[in-house]
Amino acid sequence: MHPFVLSDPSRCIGCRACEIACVDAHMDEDMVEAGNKELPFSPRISIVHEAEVTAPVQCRQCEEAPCVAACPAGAVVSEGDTVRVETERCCGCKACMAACPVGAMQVAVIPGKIKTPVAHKCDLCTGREKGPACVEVCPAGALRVFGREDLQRIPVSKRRQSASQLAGYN
Amino acid sequence: MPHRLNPFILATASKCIGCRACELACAAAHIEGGVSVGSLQAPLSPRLYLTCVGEMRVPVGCRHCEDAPCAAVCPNAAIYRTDRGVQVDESRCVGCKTCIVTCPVGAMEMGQIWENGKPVMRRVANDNSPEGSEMEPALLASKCDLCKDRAGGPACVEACPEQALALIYPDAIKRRRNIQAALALKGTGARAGEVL
Amino acid sequence: MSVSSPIVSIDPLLCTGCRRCAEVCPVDAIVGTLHQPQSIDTERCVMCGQCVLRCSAFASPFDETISDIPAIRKERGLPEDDSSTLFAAHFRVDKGSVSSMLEDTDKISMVQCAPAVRSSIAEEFGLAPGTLTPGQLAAALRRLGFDLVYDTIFAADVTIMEEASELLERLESGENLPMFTSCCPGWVRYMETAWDDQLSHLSSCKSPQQMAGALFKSYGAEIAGKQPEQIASVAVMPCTAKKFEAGRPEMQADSVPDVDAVLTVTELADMLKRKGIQLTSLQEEEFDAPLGLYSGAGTIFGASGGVMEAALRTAIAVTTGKEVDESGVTFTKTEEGISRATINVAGKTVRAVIVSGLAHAAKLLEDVRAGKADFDFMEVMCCTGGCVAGGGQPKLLPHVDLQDAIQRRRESLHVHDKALPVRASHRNPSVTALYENYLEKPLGHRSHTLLHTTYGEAAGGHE
Repeated sequence: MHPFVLSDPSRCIGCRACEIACVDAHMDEDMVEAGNKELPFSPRISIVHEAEVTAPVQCRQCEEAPCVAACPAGAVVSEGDTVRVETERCCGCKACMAACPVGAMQVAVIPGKIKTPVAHKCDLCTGREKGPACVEVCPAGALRVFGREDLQRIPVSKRRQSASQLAGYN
Repeated sequence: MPHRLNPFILATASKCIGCRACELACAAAHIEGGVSVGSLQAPLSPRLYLTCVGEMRVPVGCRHCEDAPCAAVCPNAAIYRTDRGVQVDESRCVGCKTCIVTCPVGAMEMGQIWENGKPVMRRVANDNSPEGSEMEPALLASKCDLCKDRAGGPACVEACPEQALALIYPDAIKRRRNIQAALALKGTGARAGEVL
Repeated sequence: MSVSSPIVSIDPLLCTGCRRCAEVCPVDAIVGTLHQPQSIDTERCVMCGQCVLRCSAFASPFDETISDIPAIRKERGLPEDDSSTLFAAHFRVDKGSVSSMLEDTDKISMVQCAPAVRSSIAEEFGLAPGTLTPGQLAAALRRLGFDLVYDTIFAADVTIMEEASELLERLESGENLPMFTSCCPGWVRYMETAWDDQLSHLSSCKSPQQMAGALFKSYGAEIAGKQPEQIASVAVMPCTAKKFEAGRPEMQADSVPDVDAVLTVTELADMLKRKGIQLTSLQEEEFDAPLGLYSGAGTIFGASGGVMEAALRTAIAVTTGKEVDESGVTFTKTEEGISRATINVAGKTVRAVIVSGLAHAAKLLEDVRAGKADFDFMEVMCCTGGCVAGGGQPKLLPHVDLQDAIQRRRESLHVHDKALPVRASHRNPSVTALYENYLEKPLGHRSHTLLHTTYGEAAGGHE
């Protein structure tokens, strides 16, 4: 199973540090230089600010990713730990945006060689030593990586708790 | 129409011996096959889970919550409440795994889903394979469906050699217990002329 | 696969300690406390495999305590790509050695199937319990690569010739009575482990599996123009104790085993599926002559009471000269697992007992030991119902009625018996030819060497 980053809305303070860290982690220039050059700012994590909830949303790295299925160019692939966009193959058709149930996919211009809007989304900062930049930067501890082991451990530990409760009343 | 509470399968820990017959029957009930283990056309993927804590053994499964957290977090409306429990529409599941993390009971897992005697497959990129990708069985949200299409009712309940599992209707239990309690109260209170 | 692997064992990693296996073990060999992993007392175990059939503690993909399923497969000698479900109680798998034998082009492969295999293997392909598929079984074995598809039932017919003669001889001499059948290896093992002072009562006949194996490597070798060591002899059995029997040191001639490997019904079904052989869609084929031709009498060896009925058909003909399709003798159940009848054979009264289920034999053996036995001939089948209920049969799912399935398998063997042109062992033309061309007569010199043995200490240990 692919790991993914999930937010805890009860902790999120809506500071947008995650968005900034995300953009920073996905370009060669530092933020000041990028600002001077007026490079595009397109984070792969989106803070939702609504009356009911404040929380960042990003890709869940679906096992049966609709974006992979929708892409006519074979530019979105399920590989290793993530669902990955091969931007060189993306033609900007936006089918992935239409397909993604959480709105995690963005089609926009990003810093780099390609000057037309291309699909991009959370890649778990693959290759980044300290893991996802958003998780590292969040001052409220509202973001967490759910890894393969977590996904195996969590239901098991909940079942152990449920089992103990069951034993308690019958 | 009044809201009827979902039934669910409840295990009695004190009766359970931990034989896994429920898990075996459950897994078999959800794949193609005949009467024997060898005739099953897929690996076993149970939807309730024998859980061992110390000496205690008890299977744990979906409670078919009225305000199901799994259904609430599903981004693709693949999990929904019906008059026969909380159900997963596998054709809508995208494998986002949020339901696994959300379920308070630990009832959700990602399992192989079989259709017409074949696993639902997916293509995964792999640079080492000649085609650059290979097929593997898809993992989709998998949890108790109360054996909704099975004539004999839930397979786990039928399989338990110790009668430790039961499909319970909470409304009916409440009503029955209310009546019992009322009958037990009969003859007490005002008739006894007691002022409390 | 190492030959020293136990035939039947319980994996402590998978066992949840429910002890349901202990309920079906006929010899109380399952040791352990509730909720703790169980183990098998190898001194008592008769390797019948009933615990294997009963066990439902499988390796669930969601149990955090069962982390390394590939390692368990490796330990059990299963191939890496094997996808069969692993259970705590399991038997030694010999699929690998059979595959190697089939690939060995220097050898000619001969296979035999026990009667009960043809009334159950279709269950592994999705059909109802008791579906009879002898012709498709023969065809499937040929597709799998066996050069000669012979049959255990042929040897069951030979067993009747030998055992009936032995019984008449003992009745004549009055020695070693009552006589016990020796075709069930679980029963023989029980005699050796728990009643070794009573071994002289066992018939000296090898079981049909071993008779077949011995004939494959002698008479069969002669027909094929081969040396015994050039033959790969494989048996397909509804039984796990047959794996033990095939490995017994006395079941070989000049260090060449009669039977090189034994597969259970589940193992054969798995091998067929892995080769893409869909048994139930094959055209029916015949078993190979001469060692694959059989009578109805041999067929019913697979169900409790069948050996007795088969023996009676021949005994009646031999002693009265009257040929019968069925003995007409009715056994009456006198207590749980025990049926009796009194028969007149050649002016002698023979009191016969049929025991179905090893647990019921003890009190009769007590009588024998005390010299109070009120019977002359006893058939014992370790598994209740006979080989149709054997530990190598398909493992039925929890909701399936096991007793009903056993009954259906049993009925289908009787249906098969009634449909066969020859219904008594001594009238099987291949058996007659075997005696005319090779063995000369029952209990003759060659029979003695090939088809009889001595049970007891030489059997060696469990592992």
